[in-house]
Amino acid sequence: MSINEKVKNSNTFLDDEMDEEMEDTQEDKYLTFVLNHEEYGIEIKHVIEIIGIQNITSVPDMPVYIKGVINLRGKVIPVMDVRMRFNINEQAYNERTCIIVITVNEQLVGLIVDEVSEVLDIPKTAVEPPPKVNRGAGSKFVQGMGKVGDAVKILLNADKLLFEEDLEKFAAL
Amino acid sequence: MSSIINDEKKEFVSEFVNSSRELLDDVEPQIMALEKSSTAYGEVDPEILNTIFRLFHTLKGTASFVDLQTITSVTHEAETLLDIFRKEKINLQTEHVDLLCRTNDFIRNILDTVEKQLDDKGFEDVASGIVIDLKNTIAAVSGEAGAEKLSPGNFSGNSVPQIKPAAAASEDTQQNAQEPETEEAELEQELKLVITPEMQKRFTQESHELCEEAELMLLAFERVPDNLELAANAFRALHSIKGNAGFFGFAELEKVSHAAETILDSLRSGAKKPDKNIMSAILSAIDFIRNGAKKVADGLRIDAAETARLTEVLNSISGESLGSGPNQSRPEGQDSSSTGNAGESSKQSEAQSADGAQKSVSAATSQQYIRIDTEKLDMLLDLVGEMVIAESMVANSPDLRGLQLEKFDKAIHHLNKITRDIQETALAMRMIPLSSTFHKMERLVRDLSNKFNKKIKLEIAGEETEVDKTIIEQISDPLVHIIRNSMDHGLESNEERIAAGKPPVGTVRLEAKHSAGEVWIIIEDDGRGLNREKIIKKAIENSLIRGDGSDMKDEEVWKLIFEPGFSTAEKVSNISGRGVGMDVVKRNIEKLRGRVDIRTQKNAGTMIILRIPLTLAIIDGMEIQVGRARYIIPISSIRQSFKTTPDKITHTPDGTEVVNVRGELLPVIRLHKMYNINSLYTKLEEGLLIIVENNEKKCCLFVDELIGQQQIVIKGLSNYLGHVRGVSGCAIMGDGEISLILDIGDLINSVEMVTA
Repeated sequence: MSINEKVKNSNTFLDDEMDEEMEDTQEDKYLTFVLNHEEYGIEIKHVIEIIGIQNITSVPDMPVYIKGVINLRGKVIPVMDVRMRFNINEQAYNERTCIIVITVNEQLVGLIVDEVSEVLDIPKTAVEPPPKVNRGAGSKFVQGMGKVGDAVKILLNADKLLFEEDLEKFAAL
Repeated sequence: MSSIINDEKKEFVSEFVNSSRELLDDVEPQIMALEKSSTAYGEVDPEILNTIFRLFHTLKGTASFVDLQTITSVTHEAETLLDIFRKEKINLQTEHVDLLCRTNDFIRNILDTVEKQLDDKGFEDVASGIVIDLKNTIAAVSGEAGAEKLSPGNFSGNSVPQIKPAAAASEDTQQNAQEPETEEAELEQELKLVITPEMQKRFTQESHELCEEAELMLLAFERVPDNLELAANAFRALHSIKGNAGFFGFAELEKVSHAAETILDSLRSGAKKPDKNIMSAILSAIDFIRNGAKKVADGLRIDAAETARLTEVLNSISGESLGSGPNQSRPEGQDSSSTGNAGESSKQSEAQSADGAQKSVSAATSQQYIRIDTEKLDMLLDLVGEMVIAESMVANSPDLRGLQLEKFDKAIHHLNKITRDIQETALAMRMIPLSSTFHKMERLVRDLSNKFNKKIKLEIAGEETEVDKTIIEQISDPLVHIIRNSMDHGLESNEERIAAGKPPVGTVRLEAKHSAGEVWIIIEDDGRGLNREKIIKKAIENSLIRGDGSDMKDEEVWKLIFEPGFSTAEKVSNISGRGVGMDVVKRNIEKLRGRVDIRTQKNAGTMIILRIPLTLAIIDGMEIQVGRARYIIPISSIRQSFKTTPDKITHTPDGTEVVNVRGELLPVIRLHKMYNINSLYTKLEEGLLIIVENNEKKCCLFVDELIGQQQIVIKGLSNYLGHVRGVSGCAIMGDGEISLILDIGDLINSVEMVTA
């Protein structure tokens, strides 16, 4: 309860403000990655870190796209093969394969992707709604189409990617 | 600035909430004891009444200190009521006890809100309801007393000023502090019996801390006299000491701290300027309290003459400021100030020597307890877990394979021993006695026994048994459900009991003890026992079993009561019978990796034993290999591993394989089939069979090979994956790989479901 501590407290208050500012600058930033020659983007606020592919312990009774769990410095994290989540043919992992560790609703999940590209600024004005036609396996996870120059990045909804029930499961029931 | 004040308030409030919860936990069993004594002997035990009175009094004091009006007003009325009881020796009725319990519950309920919003607003309606009830009871009771004793004047004089809500808090506390003083002295002797050694230790410890703080604040205040906040902090510390001392009945300490507090009060308001004289007086008061608290802990008496001298000095200082004219108090003031002036240097040196003495004292008291944030304990345990993993990483490093390392092995062995010791210590730090959990059940039994109209008594044994705090958190609900069940279904009505030749009052016994790496919590009743036929009938009705159940073993039948949806109660009462409760028991105990045993005898009673392993986070496990996958089986469930021969194996028509182990026929679970793994071996005689057991059910697991035994730290699989069949969690192995831990009970059950 000393004066020093009080000063410290007011400092942490300032720090909070700084954090908020940091949060602000994260807006409109996307981490892009390649999946079957298409460029995808995921909001940077979800991304914790990117690691190379590593040993995965498989867990029984899981949907095919949940490959198992990995050990990230003592934390046990489930990993999802995004290819298989989108019903794209499985591909053997190679030295370019990456795991993007993301967090949604305080849940850590690793996403296995072919290759990680870069971090891009895609302002809201450059984002179009997802196409309405041809609702394939992966389309329900798309939240928009980002235009960067001539290229188009498919922007994913991380929440749906992780938590949306897949149609196949419903069909099976 | 306002945020700072808020922070501080938050700190006080959360301290208040914590200590109040402890107080309420203390009050409840006392109320129960009170009722017991009043019904058993026809009169109340004055000691218990005093204790309750004091607990409410402390609650009121602290509540008014952090400006919680609602709690203050409610506790005030409760205190008034108790005061009448203890003064008039009136017998307590059930409704009085109910009222006190209600008050208790009400305060407990609003504490949560208080913790969040830092005040107790929004409860005025409920509070006024309770206050009115209390006041009515007070009026009724005091009317009775008045008629008996004819001393209305005494009463109006007593209760009128008290009925006003504690607006003038300081005045109020002052008054209250003085009023019970004389009685406190009277009752001190008796009170010593009620106060347990633990409480006294806590008092000494707390006083020591508070003295330390007060001293620190005072010294800082002396340097920066403009910062009145420092004086206020010292005031608060002394106020707490006073409250505690009052509660424990240490009149001397209370007197001195009260006097010192009064001076500090005028210092913090700025009405008085600090000078050396005042400061050293207060400091010597603090020293006196510190030593006093230690003396009390050692069972020594505090020097009354010294008390009187100090109080006089302190009072004369505060009297100086209170007295309107300096002339009036001059003679006395001069007296003290002259001694003060003359002895100023000597006093200072005295203070200094006291300082030195205090250092030796604090070394002697050698703080026995410190309060630690539970989060830190959790973190420590996590880190110890990581350390166990890291240690096995070093010990089993592939770099060392095939090397002859005599010295290294010795060092690793040593490290291993230390790691185990640290782990044990980290676990021991989280151990808490079960007493408060057990004593909460007294309240439950009382309420239910009124509701069911059955006279039932609760016996408690082994309440001092210590268990991990996770167990405490998980055990309370199961206990409630089991006791409820015993009281509702197990124990007969008093008439039935008399007819059956049993003592009319039923007994529920709650016992805890350690037994070979496990904690046993035993709930026993002397009721009618479980009824096999009735249970089977109900189980068939709810399609929990197939067939007529005649081939089931008794143990299997008893286990049915834990199935979800099971209830033998003919009618659903508002207490039990919905078939949810016992299911909770099973699930919570399984979460703790424990098991439930039931022993029952018709018309003699039922005994339910909750057996919970002592350590939760770290177990000895056997690593096994199936194909490329590795799994862990807890050593505690492994009975034996062996190679078999084709002639020992029988294939049943439904595809199950049964192996004959010395005449015992055990079903085989092929892990590679269950988990869809390409295993090294597919013929039973090539691989290895492991006999595992859970809840007296045995089976054989078919695996490729054993890798080895090691200590593992249990980690939960990610919530994202949900429950995995036959898997209880996972562990990070020495090589950084993750292995899944097999849940033998779940495995056996899932296989039974398929084959049944």
